[in-house]
Amino acid sequence: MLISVKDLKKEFRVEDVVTKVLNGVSFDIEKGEFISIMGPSGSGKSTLMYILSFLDKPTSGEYFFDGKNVSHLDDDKLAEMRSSKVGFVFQSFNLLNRTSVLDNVILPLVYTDISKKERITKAKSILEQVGLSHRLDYTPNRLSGGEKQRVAIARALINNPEVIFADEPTGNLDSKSGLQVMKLLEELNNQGHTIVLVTHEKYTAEYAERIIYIKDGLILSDSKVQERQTAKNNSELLK
Amino acid sequence: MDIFEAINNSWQMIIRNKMRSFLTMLGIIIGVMAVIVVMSVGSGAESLIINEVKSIGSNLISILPGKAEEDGPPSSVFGIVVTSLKYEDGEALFNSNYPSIEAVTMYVKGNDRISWEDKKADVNFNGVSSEFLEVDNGEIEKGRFFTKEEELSQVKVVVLGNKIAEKLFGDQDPLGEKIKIKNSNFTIIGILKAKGGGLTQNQDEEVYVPIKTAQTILLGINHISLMRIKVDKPENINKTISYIEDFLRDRHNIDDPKDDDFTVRSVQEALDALKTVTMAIRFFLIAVSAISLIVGGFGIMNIMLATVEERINEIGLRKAVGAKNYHITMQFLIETITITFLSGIIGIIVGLLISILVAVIAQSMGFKWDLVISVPAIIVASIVSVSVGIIFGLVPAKKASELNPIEALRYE
Repeated sequence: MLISVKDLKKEFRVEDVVTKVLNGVSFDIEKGEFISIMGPSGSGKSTLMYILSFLDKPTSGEYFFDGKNVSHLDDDKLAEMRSSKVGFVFQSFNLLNRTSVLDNVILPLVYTDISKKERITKAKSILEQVGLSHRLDYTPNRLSGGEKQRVAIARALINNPEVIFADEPTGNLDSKSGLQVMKLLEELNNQGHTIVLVTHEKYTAEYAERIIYIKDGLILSDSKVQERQTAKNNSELLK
Repeated sequence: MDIFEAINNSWQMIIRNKMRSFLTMLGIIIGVMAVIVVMSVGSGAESLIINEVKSIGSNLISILPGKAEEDGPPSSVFGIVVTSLKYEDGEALFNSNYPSIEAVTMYVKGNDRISWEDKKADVNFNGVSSEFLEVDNGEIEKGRFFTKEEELSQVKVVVLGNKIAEKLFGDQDPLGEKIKIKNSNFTIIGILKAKGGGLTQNQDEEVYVPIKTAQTILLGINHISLMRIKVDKPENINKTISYIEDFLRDRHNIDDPKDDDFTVRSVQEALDALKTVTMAIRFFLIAVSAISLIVGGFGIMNIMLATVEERINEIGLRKAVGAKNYHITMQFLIETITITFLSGIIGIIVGLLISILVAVIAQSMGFKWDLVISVPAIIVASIVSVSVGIIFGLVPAKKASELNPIEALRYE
């Protein structure tokens, strides 16, 4: 079991006003799983993802990662977990616009001990994998939306993460680029990567093998997907 | 993230926003430049004073007529005629055979228009005794100086300063020619070597006649306006001053030092006083430059705070991919230090260029101005500019590192 959360709660306190965002959430994620977290905006799905991806801490409840209790790590330990265990793909790509594609992909390794030479070799091979080896010296503002998101995926992969967290990865893309990105995530999952996808689109969520549906900070449903979407089904779009 | 990467990143940021970087740096550049210029020009001015003193000799004692307040100048300096010092005082002093007194020369001064054929010049003339050259460290370029016998027998001979000789005679040989001073003809017997301009007077533009001649023929007085004494060693100066004071009080029948009718000063004393003044001025100017550095520091802090605001997304991303607070702090701190250090370097270079320019101009105007490049000032300026970076970079860097990564990622 890679991820296990038990009765996870999160509340935000602004002065005297307490907002409860997660009201006790429990589930497990196996290694190699492709899972979607769905829900309307304000449901708490993003907060859940932030806690799972070590960007935030739960107010109460337990979070086990790879068997270790990680509910109460301090900021530096959380940063180490982010550096070594997870990769991020964001809706708005979050690339450094004035930095080359290659350096964008290398960025997570800047905070590790990996040598400069090794960083470059690794980044080049991953960029080849996502089909962007001809764009190494480009700055992101010269790339299309789909290419940007592929750079972001390459960046998410560079540190060999245990889990890739994708937060509305197709939200800012046209349907063709969106499909390419989903195809890439699908392939990564087939290679054994664990993927957690956060989305409010049912269609996109169905690429996963399992969907957790959240509303008002509680799990409404947690079920296997009967008929998974695959890039193949939509291959005519790619032409 | 290693430090070179961080410096390289910072350099990229500076290059990317050239105009803004330059304006940001300006405060520090001006501050550092001011410090360098003040230090260098201050040292140059001091060298001018020291050279001046060296050219008249630092082992000199001056005796002026009239009583002076403690450390202040005697009234004779301000043009009030005091007749209490006589030629005989100097003679007696020399003849007392005090071992540290090597030579005594006496002065009377006046000014007049001198002329040779149809050429005229307004000059200061000095009546001096024959020991003048020895006491004044002067040298003869052509001809000779007058002798003791000539001094005492009131002959009308004159020795010209180098510049005035050139002004009147050009390429012609002045030796043996006669010039008119106060309607009397004086035979030129010598030309002095050029000494260069000083702070207070330019000896090259003055003329020298025997003191007795000046007293009786030119001025009609029997007092002297200055006596200078050459002491064998600088360390004997204070001892000699005491001796001279006692000697003159005895000669003038003075019991109480309050009633002194003369003032004894050493060049060293004057030099020390001047040094105190230049130190004070320099300290004041450095304090002003330091304020400029502080103002520049706040300017940089302001810009860095704006930069943090501008790059919130980047900070969020860096944190998301594993940067610790420490990494973010270091990134922004190094960025600020790079800016201030670079400003420091530019300030040092500009400061040095200005110092060189000042020295070249001063030298071309004939001042004995040494170009002093103060290595400690350069080191201090570098350290200060880095320190300003650390001090004023810390707040923005801390602010950046303490950003919540989620809020930073979402910030628009």
